[in-house]
Amino acid sequence: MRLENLKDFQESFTEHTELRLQRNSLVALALVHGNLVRNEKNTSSGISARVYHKGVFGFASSPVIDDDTAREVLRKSQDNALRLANLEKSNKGALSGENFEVVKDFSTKKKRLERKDMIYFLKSLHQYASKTYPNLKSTTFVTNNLDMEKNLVTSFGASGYSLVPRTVLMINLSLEKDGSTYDTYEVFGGLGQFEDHFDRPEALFEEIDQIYEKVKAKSEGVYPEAGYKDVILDSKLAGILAHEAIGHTTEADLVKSGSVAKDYLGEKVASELVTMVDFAHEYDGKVCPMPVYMDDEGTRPKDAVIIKDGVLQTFMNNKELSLDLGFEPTGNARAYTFSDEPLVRMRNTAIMPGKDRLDDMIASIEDGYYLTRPSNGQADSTSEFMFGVPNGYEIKKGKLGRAIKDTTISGVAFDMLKTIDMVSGEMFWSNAGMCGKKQMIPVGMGGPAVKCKVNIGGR
Amino acid sequence: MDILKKCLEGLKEKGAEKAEVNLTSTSKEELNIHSGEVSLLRSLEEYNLEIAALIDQKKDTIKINKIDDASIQEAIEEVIENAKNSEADPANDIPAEKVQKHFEEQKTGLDVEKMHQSMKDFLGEVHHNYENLIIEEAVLEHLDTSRYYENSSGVSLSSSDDLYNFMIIFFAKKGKKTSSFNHTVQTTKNLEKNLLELGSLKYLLKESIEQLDPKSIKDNKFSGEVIVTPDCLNEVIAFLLAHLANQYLISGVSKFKNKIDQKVLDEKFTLKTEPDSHELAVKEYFGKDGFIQKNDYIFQNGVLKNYLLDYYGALKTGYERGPSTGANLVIEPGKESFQELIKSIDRGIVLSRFSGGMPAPNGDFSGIAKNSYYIEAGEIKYPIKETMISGNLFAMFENIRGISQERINNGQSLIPYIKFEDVVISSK
Repeated sequence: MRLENLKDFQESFTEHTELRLQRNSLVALALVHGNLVRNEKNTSSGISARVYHKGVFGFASSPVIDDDTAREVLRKSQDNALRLANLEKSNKGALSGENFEVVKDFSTKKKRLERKDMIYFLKSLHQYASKTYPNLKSTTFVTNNLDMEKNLVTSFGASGYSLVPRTVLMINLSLEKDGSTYDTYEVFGGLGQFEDHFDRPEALFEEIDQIYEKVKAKSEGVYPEAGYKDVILDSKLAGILAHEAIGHTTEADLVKSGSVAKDYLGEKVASELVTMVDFAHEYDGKVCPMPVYMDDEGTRPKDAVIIKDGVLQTFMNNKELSLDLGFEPTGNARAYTFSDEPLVRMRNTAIMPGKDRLDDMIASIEDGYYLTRPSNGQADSTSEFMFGVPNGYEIKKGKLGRAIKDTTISGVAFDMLKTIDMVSGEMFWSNAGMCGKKQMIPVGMGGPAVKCKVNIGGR
Repeated sequence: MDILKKCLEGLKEKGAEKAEVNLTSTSKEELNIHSGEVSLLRSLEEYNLEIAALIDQKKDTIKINKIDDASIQEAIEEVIENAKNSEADPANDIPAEKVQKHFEEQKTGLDVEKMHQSMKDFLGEVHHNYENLIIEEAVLEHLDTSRYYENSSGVSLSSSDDLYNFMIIFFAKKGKKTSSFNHTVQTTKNLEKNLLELGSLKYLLKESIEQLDPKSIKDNKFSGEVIVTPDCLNEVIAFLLAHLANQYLISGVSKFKNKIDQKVLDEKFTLKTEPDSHELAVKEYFGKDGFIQKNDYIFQNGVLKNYLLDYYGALKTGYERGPSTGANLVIEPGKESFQELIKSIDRGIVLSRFSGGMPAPNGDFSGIAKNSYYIEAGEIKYPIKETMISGNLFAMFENIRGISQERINNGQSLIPYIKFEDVVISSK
C-alpha cells in the first residue's frame, strides 16, 4: 500500500482525521573488541489513524497493512475519540488544516552495499585501531542505519510521502592507565544511507588516530575543579546547548503546562549575540540533518525563530497547541513509529553563528575550560540543563592546558545565555541526536562555539 | 505455537543449522493526560517476531512486526542470507537442554471505564491536595502480553500475563516560580489501589511543591554524605550493573571481571534479581536467549555472586549465564529508619533525582542533584538548587554508611534509601 492507496480513504473521513502508513527499518551492527556482538535488522511497519473530536483524540494502529485493516483502524480511532469525548464531556472547537502535497525521497542513489560489506568495513576499522594502537584496552564500532518512510493523508486534503534515512557510525576507544579505564568516542554520518557516508574504511583511519590521541590525553589528564567557571563550548556542544537548554522548555506542550519559558515571551532571555532557530528542513541553502517537509499532522512546517537577538520570540507547536497559545502552526508534530501519536518535537535546532574567532575566544579566558564534545544531556521545566562532557582542556592565561577527565556541566539556560559574550563564526551540525520524550525521535542540532559561564562538575 | 514452529521449519529448510524464534504479542489500551487534561485514548495491537539463524557458528537476527506467511518467508530468506555472510563465533549458540514450560498469570482484564475513573480520581486528588502541582504528562496503560520462545533444540517456553503501567511527569508552578520536573513509572497488577498510593508517588508530588522555593547551599563546595532515594537509586544501580552485563565484560572494561565470590562492595549491600518475585507486579520468566530465569543474589553482603550475562555473553566470556539479565531488582533493607539516617548526617544532601552524564568506566561521575534537599546537623534544612555532585560510583558502594528499613515497591523493583559518604557537593 502506498500514498495513492491512502488517498482512496480520504473521502470517507467524517471527522478531523490523519491516516498514516509508516515503515521504520533499522540495521544495527556492533563490533566490540573484534567480536560481532550485534548483527540485526529490525523492521516495523503498519497503519495508524488519529481522529480529533471536540477537544480529544482517538488513536488506533495495526501492523497489518490492507484496505480492511485501514478501515478498521479508522473506525477504532473514531470510536476512541467519541468514547473519550463522552467520558470527558469535552466540547472544544475544531482545528484547521491545509491542503497540499509533498514527496521527498532521500534514499541513496548509489548501489546498495550488502551486510557483509558493512561488517567488513567495521572489521577494517577494528584491525587498523588494534594494530596501530596495541595498548588499547578495547575498541567498539557501532553503526545504526535508520530509514523512516512515511505516507500521510489528512481530512484537510494534505498528502505526503517521505523517506528520510539516517546513518550513524560511533567509534569508541578505551585505554587503561594506573588501574583506571578511560574511553572516548566520536560519531560520524548523518542524513543519508551508509553508502552516502562511508566509502572506504581508510578514510576514517585519521579520525581513529585523533580519537586515540584524545583518550590518551584524557587518561593522563586532570579532574576539572568543580565550580562556576568561564568556558568555551566548542561548536560540537552548541547543538546540544540549543536542544537541551532552550529547546525543550520552548516546546509548546511544556509551555502550556507552565514551563518557565511561558513567563519570558517577548523578554530578553539571552545576550543579544544569541539567535536560535528550529529549522524545518533547510539552513543556508542546504538540507538539514533531519528535514521535515510535512509534519505528522499534515502541517506545512515553518522555521521557528525561538530567540532573535536575545529576545524570546515564539514556541514550537502543533495544531492544537498553536490554537491554545495563539501562534501560527510551526509543524513540529512528529511521531517515531507507525503506532506512535505525533508529539511536539524539535527538528533541527541551532544557535546562529557570530563573528568571533575561536583562537580569540580562548585567548580571552584567564582561568577556565575549553569543552570539546558532549555526551548525553537533559532539560528541565526550570530551564536548568546539564550535559556530559567526555573531552576538554584547561585554559590558563589564554592558552590551552592539560586535557580533563569526564565531567558534567550545568546551568539555568535563561541565566547562562545572558553570560554569552563571544560567538564564533563557524556552524557545526550534529547528526546523531536521538531525543527521548514519550517516544524517541531523531533530531538535528547545530551551532558555533560560544564563550559563557557554567557550573562544572569535578573535584 | 504454530507460527514459531513454522519459522523453525522454514529456517531449517533454507539451511539453518540452529535457529531460535521469539514472539511477543501485545494488546495495549492507553489513556493519556497532557497538560492536566485527559486528551487521548489509544488502542494498539502489536507483534514483535525475532528470528535468529545460525550457520557454521555465524549468526544473524531479524526483527519484524508481522506474523503473516509472506512476511515470515521473506524474513527467513533474508536472515539466512545474512547469517551466511556474518562472522563465525563459537559463542553463537542456542541452549540445547530440551525444556518445555508455560507460565500463566491470572489476568486482571481490561476495563477502560475503570482506567478513566482512576485517572479522574487521581487528577481530582492532585487538584485538592497538591496545590500548584502541574501534571505535564501522564499515561495509564493496560498491557496484555503473551511471549513465546522456541528453538531448534526443542526448547519451548511461553508466558501470558497482563498489568497496568502508570507513567507520570510533573512539576509545580506558583506565579513565576517553577520547580524542577520529576517523573516516575509505577507498575501494578490491577487498579484496586488509588494511583496516588502507588510506590513513592505521594512523596514525590509533595517534594515538587516544596521545590518551588529552593536555595543555594551557603558553603559552595564541600565533601559530604548523600542519602540516595529509592527512585534515584534505580538509575544509579543501572550504572553499576552495566559492569556485570555483556558489553563491559566482553570488552574487558568491567570493574568486576574475574571477581565472582569476591567481596567487591560494602558488606551491608545485598542485591537480588527476582524475575519471579511474589512481591513485584512485573514478571520475566525467561530470557530472549531461551533460559528460564530465577531469583538469585547478584551481590550478597558485598560479595559478587552472579553476572547478568545472557547465553552469548556467557559463552563469550566463559562465565555462567546469569540468573537474569537484570530483571526486578530487590535490595535487602537495613536496620535504620530513613529519619535515623538523616539524623546521623552532619552535612550532606538527600539526592532525589540525578541528572548527569553516564559515569566513566572507572566509576567517576558528576551531575546535578535535582529535587534534592540540604541536610545539616541531622536535619533536612531546605530544598536546594543549582547543586552539582561528583564522586566515584564504586567507592560509594564500597563504603555504604547505612541502609533504610523502609523500601519502595514500584512494581519493578524494591529498593531502600542508602547513605553514602565522600561525595563532592558544589553550589553556584
